[in-house]
Amino acid sequence: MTWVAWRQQRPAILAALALLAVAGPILVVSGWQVTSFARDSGLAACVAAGGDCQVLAEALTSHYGAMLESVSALGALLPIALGLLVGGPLLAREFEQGTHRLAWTQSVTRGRWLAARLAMAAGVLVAVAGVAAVLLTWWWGRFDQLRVSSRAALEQGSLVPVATALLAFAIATAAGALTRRVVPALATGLVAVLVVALALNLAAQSWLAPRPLPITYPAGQPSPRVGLDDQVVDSGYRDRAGRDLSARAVDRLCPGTAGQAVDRCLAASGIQRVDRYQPAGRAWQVALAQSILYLVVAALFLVLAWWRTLRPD
Amino acid sequence: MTAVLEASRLGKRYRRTWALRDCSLAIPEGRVVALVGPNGAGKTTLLHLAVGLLAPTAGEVRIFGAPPADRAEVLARVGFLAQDKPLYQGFTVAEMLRYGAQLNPGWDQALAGRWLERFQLPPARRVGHLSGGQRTQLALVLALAKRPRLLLLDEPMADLDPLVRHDLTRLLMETVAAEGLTVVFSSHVVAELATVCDYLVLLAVGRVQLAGDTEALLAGHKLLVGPRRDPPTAGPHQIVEASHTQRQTTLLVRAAGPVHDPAWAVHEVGLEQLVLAYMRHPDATVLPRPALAAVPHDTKREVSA
Repeated sequence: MTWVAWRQQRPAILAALALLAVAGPILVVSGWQVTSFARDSGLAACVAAGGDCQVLAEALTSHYGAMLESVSALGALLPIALGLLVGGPLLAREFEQGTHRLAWTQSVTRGRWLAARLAMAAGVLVAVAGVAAVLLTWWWGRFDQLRVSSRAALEQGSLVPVATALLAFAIATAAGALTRRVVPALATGLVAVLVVALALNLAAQSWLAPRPLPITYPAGQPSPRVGLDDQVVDSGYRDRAGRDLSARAVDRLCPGTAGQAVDRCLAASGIQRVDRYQPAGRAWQVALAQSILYLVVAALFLVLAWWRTLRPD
Repeated sequence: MTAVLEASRLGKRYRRTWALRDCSLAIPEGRVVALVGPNGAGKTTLLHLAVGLLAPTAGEVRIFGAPPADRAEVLARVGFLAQDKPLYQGFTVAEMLRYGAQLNPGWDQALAGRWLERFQLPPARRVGHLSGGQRTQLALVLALAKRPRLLLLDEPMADLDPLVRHDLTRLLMETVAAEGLTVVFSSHVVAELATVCDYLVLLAVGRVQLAGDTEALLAGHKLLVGPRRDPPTAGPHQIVEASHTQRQTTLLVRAAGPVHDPAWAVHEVGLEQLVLAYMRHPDATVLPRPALAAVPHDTKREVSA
C-alpha cells in the first residue's frame, strides 16, 4: 500500500516542489538583497553597535517596503497553496475519474486505503512545508536581525507554515470528499481556508494567547517601546478622563492631515495613545497557540473527510 | 445449490426514483450469468450493491452468504470491472499491475503476465495512451489476476471490436472452466452473451423479470405458428408475445407442458428472441419457483391446448 500511496501522490508532490522551486529563489534573493543593503547603508553596523538606528531602518523599509509586503504575503500564501495542491485532488480526482470504484474493490478495506493515502500525503506535505518554513524563518530573520520587523513575524516562520499547510490540506481533502470534483474542491477549499484561518487567528489571539499588555503614552509621540520587537495587537486613544475615544473623535478634536500641528494639538488636549502588545519574549507562545488551534481544526476536517468517504452511497 | 450472490427484496433509491426495487434472485455457484436489460434497468446499480459500492435502501444482498460489508476477505473473493473501466491515467501498464499486486494478497503475477502477452499490452505504455479496447483488457486483467471466486463485469464488451470480443470471451471461458469461478456479465446486447452464458437474469425497470437456467428457460418456451387467432388463446400456456399477419398468428409462449393442439406448428426459441420478447413486454414475468423446480420433467400433466 505504501508504494501505491506514494505513486498516487507523486503528481501532487511534484507540483508542490515546483511551487517551492519558484518561491524559494524569490525568498533567498530578496533576503540577500536586504542583507547587502543593510551592510552598505551602515544599518547592520549600527544595530550591532546597539545605537539608535531609526533613520537607517526607515531608509531600509522605504526602499524595500513594497517587496517586504509582497514577499510576506507570498510567505503567508505559500503554505496554503501547498496544502491545497496536495489535499484538493487527493479524493476528488478518484471520484472524478471513477477510480474509487477500482480502489474500493481491491482486497483492501476503505479505511486502510484512506489511512494510507492520508498518511502519505500528510507526511510528504509536512516535509515540503518544513522546507518552506525554514526558508521563511531565514527570510524573516534578515529583518528581525535589523530590528525592522517584530519577533512575532519571525515566529510566523517556524511552526505556523507547517500547521497552515496541514489546515489547508485537511480542508481541501474534505472539500474533495464532499464535491467529488477537483476544481470545485480547490475553489471551495481556498475560500474555506482563508475564512477559517482568519477566524482561527482571531480566536487564538483572544482566547489562547496570553493577554496582551497595555502601554499608555502621549498621542503623537513615538511609543516608548519602539525597537523592542513587540507585536502590537491593537491600539486606541484615551482622553484626559480616561475614556476611550474613537479615531474619528480624535480627528474631530484635532483636525488636519498630520504633522507637528496635529501632534501639538493632541499633546495640548492631553490625549493618550494606548497600545496593547505582546512582548517579543511571548512571540513563540502566540505562534504555538495559533499552530495548535490550526492542527485541532485540521483534524476535525479530516474526520469529516473520513466520515464522508467511508459511508457507502 | 449454494448461492454465490443472493438478493432478497433488494431496493435502491436515488433521491425519489427507485433504480432497483424489490429485486430477489439467487445466483448459483460456477455459472456464467448474463445480466441483461434495457438501459436504465438497474444492472449497474445491482452490481454496485453486490460489491458494496452502494448501500441498499431496502432489502439485502449477500455474497458468499454475507453482506458485502467493507471486509478484506470478502473483497478478496470478488473481482469487479466497472462500466467505465476506471484506471489511473498517469500509470503505466506495468504500474497498474504493481498496483494490483500490492492491494491483493492473492495476486497472480504470472497469470497477469500471460494475459498481458496475449492481449499484447505494452508494459511501459501509459494508461492514458491506451485505446478504449486496451483499457478494457487491462482492467479485466486486473480483475482476473486477483484470483476472485466471483467475477462481476459491468458491460465488459461494450467498446471492443467483434474480433477482440470473440477472443476475450473465449479466454474468459477457458479461465472460468479451469477455475470454476462464477461470472456475472451485464449487457444490453443479448447476442454477445447468448453463446457463453448458462444462466440468465433479465431486469426490467428496476426489478427482475426473468431469471433461471438458460437451457430450462429455452426448453420452457415455444414459438407457436398457426392460423390467425385474434384475440390469441393458447390454452394453459402463458402468452408472452403475440404477433399477427393477415392469415397467421405467431405466439411466443411459456409452455405449461407439451403442446398438443395440432393447429400450432411448434418451434424452438432462441435466447435473443426470448429476451427481446420479454423486454418488449415488461409485465410478463418468469422467476424460478422452488415448487416447480422440484417437479421432475417427465411428470405427466395432461394438457390440451
